[in-house]
Amino acid sequence: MRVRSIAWPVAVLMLGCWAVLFLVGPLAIVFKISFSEAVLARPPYTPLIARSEAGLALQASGANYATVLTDSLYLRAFGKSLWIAFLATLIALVIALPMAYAIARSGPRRRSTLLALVLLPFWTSFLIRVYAWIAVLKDEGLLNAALLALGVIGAPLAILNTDAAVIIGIVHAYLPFMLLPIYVAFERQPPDMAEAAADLGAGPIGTFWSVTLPLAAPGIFAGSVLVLVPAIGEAIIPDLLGGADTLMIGKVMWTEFFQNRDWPVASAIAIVLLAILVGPVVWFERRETRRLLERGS
Amino acid sequence: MTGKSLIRVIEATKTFGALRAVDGVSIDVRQGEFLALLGPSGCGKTTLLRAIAGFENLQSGRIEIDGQDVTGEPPYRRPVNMVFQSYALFPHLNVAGNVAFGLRQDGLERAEIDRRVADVLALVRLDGLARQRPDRLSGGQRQRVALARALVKRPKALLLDEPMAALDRKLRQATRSELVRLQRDSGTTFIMVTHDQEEALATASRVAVMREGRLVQIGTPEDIYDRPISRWAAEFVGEINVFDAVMAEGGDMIAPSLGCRVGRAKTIERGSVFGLRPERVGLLPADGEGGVEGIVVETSFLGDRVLLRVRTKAGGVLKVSLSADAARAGEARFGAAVRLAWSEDAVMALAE
Repeated sequence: MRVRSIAWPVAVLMLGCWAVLFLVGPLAIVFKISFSEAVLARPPYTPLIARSEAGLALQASGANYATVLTDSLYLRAFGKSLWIAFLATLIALVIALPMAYAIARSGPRRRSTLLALVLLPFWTSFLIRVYAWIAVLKDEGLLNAALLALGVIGAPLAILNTDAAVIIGIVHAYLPFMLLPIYVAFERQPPDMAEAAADLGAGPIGTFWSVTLPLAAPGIFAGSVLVLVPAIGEAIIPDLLGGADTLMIGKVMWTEFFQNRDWPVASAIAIVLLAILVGPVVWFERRETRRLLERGS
Repeated sequence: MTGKSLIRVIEATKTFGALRAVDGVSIDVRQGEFLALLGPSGCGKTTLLRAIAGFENLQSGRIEIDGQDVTGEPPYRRPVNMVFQSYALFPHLNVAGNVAFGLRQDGLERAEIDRRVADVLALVRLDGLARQRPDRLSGGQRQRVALARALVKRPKALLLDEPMAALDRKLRQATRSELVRLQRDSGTTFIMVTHDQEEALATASRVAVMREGRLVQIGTPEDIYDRPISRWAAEFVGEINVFDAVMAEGGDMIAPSLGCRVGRAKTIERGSVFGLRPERVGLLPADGEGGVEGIVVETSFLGDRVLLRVRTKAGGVLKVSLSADAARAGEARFGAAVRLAWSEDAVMALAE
């Protein structure tokens, strides 16, 4: 029999309370609202169970889902979100990969300094970091001023309020989430893996491509999921840096909720988004768990 | 054993900070031999092996392989391959993929790669496991994959870093003879690092004993065991009784702790101490005459042999190793009085 400390039931209880209070509960409420209809009232949706003379009646409607899944506005927003998040993830991967490798290969003291520098931006509020990009990217901003002064361009580039600005913002905000798992994957590799490759005739580039990179695949995958998933639902970055046509689903949901006061449609969007994201994440989790179990056996 | 020299290590020195891991070592490795680098941990044997493989850069000295100076060359340009202590199999490739890795680096044709992989897997008796992942294999199978992966490159020399350290005792015995067979069948020069003297003596055709970064002695297993160059070498390889002796009248050397004559003065050239292997000591009938009298103060039964510690009348303690039959016949039980005898040529003079 396995011996467990008293900490075990406490931990399980805390985890359960946390999940019910902040995950299952709110999700159930959102799920419930998504089947209601919007009304001008407080709260701004019809109750799910109506009381009438005939008794209690369930008045659930799939209309919100029909709207979300057929209206081209929402479909375009979903498509754009996936596309922008995909591009941002790809760019973050290309930037983070060499950085993570360099950090993992540096000496222990320099390594901790570099890791601290990666995490340093978290000391500043997310919102302020996004706002800072406005100052950098706007027509008379730092980037354009620098490029004009260098004579690279003749007229300011319109970057702010475009998809490009949103992608820049996402890459910058989420880069550490890409970098850290990849760093761990590189750092954990036993040095004799690369030595064995070199011994068998692989030069530095061959060793990296055929051994070091494939062995870091779980970290690359984890980092990509950690960037892709929140980026798809991102609302603040497209709102501040995007333009009128940067229609991302997170921002649409925000608009439905706060401006149109259409809670049921906003809830339906949230549920659909969750369904899109949960599939790949659960698949990934299962795969990782299976891999760990296989290793252990 | 007079093959031409294949690898020449010339005055090799490698330091890590203040530590001189390899300190002016020169070794000639002959074509086709099985050389064991033997020494206690930290003696520099692994560093020397890694320097031959190209993983350590020497501070001074040179390494030549087949007449080519490879001193500054990276591992991937040296015609030798290594079996790592951890085996270092690639977990993302199956057995065949691991073995084919080195051939792919050489840009060989697919058919040629497949053929050589199949051949070498048959050689190490892993034919059926080509599609298995390394983490599904037993320790012994993993070791054979590591051997196959290195041998398939047809290296001029195969370097083995403690190849049996990760195996259990039973498997180690079988693996030893497997290694000897592989070495003979492939005709490849093997250089094996080990801290296990029994392993070195059992497998190697020559043994190089190292201590604190220096080469102490190099020779056949018989040379190393029967003619150790110093007291340290004698004590490191096998068990030995070491005792002082003084010169008596007439040139006889007498060991005070044993109370007997151990040799003639003229046979002492270097040393002031003498050594006697425990298995060279035999029993005389206890009720007879002659020999060195003593009392058995400790016995340990090993199945085929019995180890005794015998306190002599003169007060010294001798380790004695008898076959189980001899111990039974001589009634060499704990507390028994015994008479010990050995031939004079079993006593060796040892430099301190």
